[in-house]
Amino acid sequence: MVNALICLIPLCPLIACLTTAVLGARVLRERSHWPTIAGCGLAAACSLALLVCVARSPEPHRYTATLYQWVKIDTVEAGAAGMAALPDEGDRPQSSVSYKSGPDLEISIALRADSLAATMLAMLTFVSTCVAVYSAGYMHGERGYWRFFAFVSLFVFSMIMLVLSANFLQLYMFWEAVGLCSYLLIGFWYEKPAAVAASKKAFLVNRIGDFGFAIGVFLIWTTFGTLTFDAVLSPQRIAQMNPGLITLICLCLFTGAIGKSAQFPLHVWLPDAMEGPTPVSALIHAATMVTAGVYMVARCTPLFRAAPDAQVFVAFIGGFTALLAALIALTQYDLKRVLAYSTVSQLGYMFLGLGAGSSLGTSGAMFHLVTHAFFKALLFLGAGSVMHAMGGVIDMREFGGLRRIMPQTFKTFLIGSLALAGLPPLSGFWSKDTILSAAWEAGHAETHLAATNAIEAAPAMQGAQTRANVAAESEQTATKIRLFGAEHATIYRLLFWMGSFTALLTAFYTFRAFFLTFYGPEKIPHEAGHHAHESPSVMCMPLWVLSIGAAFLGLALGHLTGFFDGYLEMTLPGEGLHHATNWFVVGLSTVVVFAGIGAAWFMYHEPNDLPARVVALAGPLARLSLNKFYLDQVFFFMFVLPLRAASQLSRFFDWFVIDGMGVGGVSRLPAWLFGKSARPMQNGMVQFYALSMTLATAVLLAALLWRQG
Amino acid sequence: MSNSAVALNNYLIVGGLLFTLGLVGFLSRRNLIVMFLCAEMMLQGVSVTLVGFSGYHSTWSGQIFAVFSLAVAAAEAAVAMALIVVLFHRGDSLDVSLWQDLHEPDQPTLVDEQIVDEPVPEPQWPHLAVAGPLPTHPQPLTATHRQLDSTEVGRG
Amino acid sequence: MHPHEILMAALGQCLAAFTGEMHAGLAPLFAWAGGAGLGGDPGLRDRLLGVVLNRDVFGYIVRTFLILLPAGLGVYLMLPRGLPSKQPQYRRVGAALAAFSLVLICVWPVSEKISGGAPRTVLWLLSGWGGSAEFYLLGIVSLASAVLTITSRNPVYSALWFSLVLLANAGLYLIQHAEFLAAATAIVYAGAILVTFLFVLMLAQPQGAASYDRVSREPFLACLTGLLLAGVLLGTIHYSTSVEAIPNAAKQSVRPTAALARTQMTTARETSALVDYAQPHVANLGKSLFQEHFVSIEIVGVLLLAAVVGAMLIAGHTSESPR
Repeated sequence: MVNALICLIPLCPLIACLTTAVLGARVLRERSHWPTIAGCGLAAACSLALLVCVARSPEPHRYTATLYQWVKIDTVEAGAAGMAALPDEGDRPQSSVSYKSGPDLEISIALRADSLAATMLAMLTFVSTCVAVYSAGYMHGERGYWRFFAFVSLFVFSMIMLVLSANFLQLYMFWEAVGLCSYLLIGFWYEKPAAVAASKKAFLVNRIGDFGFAIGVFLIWTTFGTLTFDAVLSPQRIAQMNPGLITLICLCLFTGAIGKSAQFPLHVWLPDAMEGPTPVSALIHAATMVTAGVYMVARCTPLFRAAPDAQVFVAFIGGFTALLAALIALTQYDLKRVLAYSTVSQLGYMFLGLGAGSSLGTSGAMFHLVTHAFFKALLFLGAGSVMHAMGGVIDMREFGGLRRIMPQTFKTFLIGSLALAGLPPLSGFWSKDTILSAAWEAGHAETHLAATNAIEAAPAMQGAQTRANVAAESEQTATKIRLFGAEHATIYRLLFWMGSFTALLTAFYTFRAFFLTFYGPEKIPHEAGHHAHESPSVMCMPLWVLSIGAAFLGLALGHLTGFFDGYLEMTLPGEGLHHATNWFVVGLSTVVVFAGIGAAWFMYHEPNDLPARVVALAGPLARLSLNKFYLDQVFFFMFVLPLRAASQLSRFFDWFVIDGMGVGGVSRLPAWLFGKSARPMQNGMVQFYALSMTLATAVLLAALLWRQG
Repeated sequence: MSNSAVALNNYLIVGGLLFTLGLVGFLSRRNLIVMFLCAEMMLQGVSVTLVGFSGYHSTWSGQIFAVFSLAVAAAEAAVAMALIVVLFHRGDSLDVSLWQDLHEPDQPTLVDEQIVDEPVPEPQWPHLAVAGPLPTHPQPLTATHRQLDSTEVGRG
Repeated sequence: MHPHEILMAALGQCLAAFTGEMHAGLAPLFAWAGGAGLGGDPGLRDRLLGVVLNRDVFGYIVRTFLILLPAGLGVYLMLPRGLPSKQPQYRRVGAALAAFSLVLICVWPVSEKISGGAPRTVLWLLSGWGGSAEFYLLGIVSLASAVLTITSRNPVYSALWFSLVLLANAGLYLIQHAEFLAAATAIVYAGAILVTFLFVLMLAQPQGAASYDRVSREPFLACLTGLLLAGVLLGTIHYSTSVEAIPNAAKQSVRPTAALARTQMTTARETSALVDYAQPHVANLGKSLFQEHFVSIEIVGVLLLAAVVGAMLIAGHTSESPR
């Protein structure tokens, strides 16, 4: 019953995708959004049902529906056949154990639902439905209307399959599939060169991360001999493995997450991806696909727990990216880009939480993922609504004071901004606060956290000897726990302060964008014409639905009720103790939020010369921020230019050495050797051809008979 | 060796020789039509062989095959004749040497040895007895063909 | 025994003796060639000799080649070579050589090893009447006309000689009880196709003997090729019928009945009906054609139609200016 439900969730968008793809161009046309909306809505309903089912399920809290066996390779049992063929000898050990050169490879396409996946699914399908409804209004009248919805359905299907994966290979496959959908949708307006370049960039940058991910999957297979989550992600099994190898696996997997979730240094693709349609930015590049990396790292929590170094690395990258992206977002004028950098920053927060190494951090990260999906999708859709009204203009200098023209958008955008800034009762506050608390605790806990983790895992193992070994190893690890010469705790402390500062910046840049857009004198770009108006209700309705989520999700599920933590603990068992509210962190973040919003109010709620003076004061720093820390340029000179040089070199090598001397030489050699004598044979005289043919036939026959006789 | 085998042998030999002779003709003659005749002769050689086998095996297959080859030869003849007519209209000659354009671009065209033209023999008109006296025209008759004939007749 | 049988037998005996002598006379030549050319190594020479003369198939081919050599030379001499048509002695010599070769073929001896019993088996004539006098007559006419077809200077003569080839072949078909095919050959080929040829000739032939009709292209190479091919073909036929036991080569003098053939034949297609000579032939052939080969017949019909349409299309546009 539940298995059927699980199967139904990906099936709905898949059917929607196929229907739209087949019938869209000719039959559905302007009605192409219906299959997608219906499919996503049905999937959302099923996901909510699944949420309840998982909560009520018995102990492992997990359902697995195996669809079919994809790969089944029995490793050749080397020696078994050979030994059977040989006569029995006395000194040969008569064992039935054959020599296996490696483990069997057995991979199924299976749908595996636990509380982590169910949470993710519920968020994903819900936001997808909202975005699909919104798109019906936003994309109305576009060329390729049906194509858009076919791609969106395909994306939803792929993402659902990614979330429901039961093994690493399936995860990887759909990881690539969502990347493909992202590529297709960023480049949806393929006549626009910027869109094409952005889609290409997104795809190529993701390749780097995916390469690391693939290596990680290979390493998992060679280490564990299997790829299923159930087998790999058991702490007992992980504890038996070489810790260095586990760290390496974690780093490789995290490389994939860096690419997909746009962390430093691979974050450069996400802002450019804003060239795609705004609903796509909301769905894929804010709410769902970019969080796949977070989901994957959360899924692999047992692995990361066993690799403290990797965990610190994750946290550091997350914290650093959060700060960097927030700094860049301060000075951007493109509304969607501000939101994009904000997304990068918030994803950094999530990784900071994941890297904190406690169940508090993990559940905080996942909770932030869910709330972020709501308020960021809301903000993007609001930005899309503004863009829709402004005739495609998204530069905040071109418009302003829209709060009277677009009241609905204004209100929902305000809710989203407050949630993003982390104002106390709204959802963003709760999740961000949890992450910061986790970072604080990691910074002030005893340094032997990792060691205790390892020893906790050990009791399941048989034998005191092994246990002692693990304990000794853990001691060693504990003494070695250092990164960049600093102790872990120090790093976490630093990260906490970085995160808090980022919270300040977040509040500031969010409201900078908000005030620039909705306050100040009314200013409408001439592209909008005279009909700048509020968006239609089909676009406003999803905004309101999402803003309800953005406002109350934290209150309902967050730290106050502990509902989310408890739900997630069914899959990711933590330390079991309920954390007391860290009032210092709560107070700090509240203060920071008000400070940020206040600063933005002073600087931007109406035009004044304050921003200019600040910029003049900051000088090179502001320029650095405005130019995104010159990272694109740095990458250009570090990677693109050498690559271009190398490709030019290869091209010339190909032309002159391979083609010129190799292929061309080989083909010119016979022409040069025999061509002179053979060319006269091609004299155009049909009788000559017939003569040579028959003469050759006769001689050949004679030769054959000679050989045979 | 049985009689049927000998009979088969004989047919095979006749068929093989016909085929070979056709081949020699095809290779050496330069007239398009004669070349085509020779190709037909090769087909005839094959047909003889098939009929011989048909009789030897006491089955219809050989004959049926020969019927098919006959039909194909007829089709081929139709198309080939049309082609030859077109080629003749283009080149004003049936010489196969005219059609060697598909040679290597820098190869010289094959030029056949030139032979002295045999003088076309004078048509030997029949000598008819004069059936009456020559008409007494004032001028000599040299204008038209019809009259040319009559002058010949008159001279005879 | 009919008188002409006796005559033929006698002739065959003489010629068989002659050709046997020829083999015997040539053997030392080969021996000398092998010995002189290869430094007198007796082992190698013997091996070479063995290869040339005693190896089964190739020995046959070499002998066939020798028999056909005069014919090849004759055809070479008869082919038009640009000489004035008033000097026909080359043609006469060539014709004589070709005729000699034809006679040799007719009296072709089979080796004693094979023939085994008396009388010495000669391929065509003396094998207990495997063939008939009609066959020899028709075969010789066919081959001779074929030679004349390819050697005539005037294409009209060629066409006429070819019609004779066709008529002779029709006779050969009749002997093999292929009445329909004989009629079809005579009517379709000699009647229709050849007339088309002649029409085209009338349309296209310039006045007098064209230079391209008076000169052959590479007559020597062409004859050599033909000689090689004929040698290989006929030698193999000769060998296979002489040496290899033919599956149903039972020692009966009667033509195998249908039932017998059915039991003995392994090569015949099982689906194909065997010829029952008691039945009317054309009817059976028609049945076979339209039952077993129905689709093929239809396809051939379509092919013919397409060819006719194509021919009209091709020849319809002849108003282009000559180049």
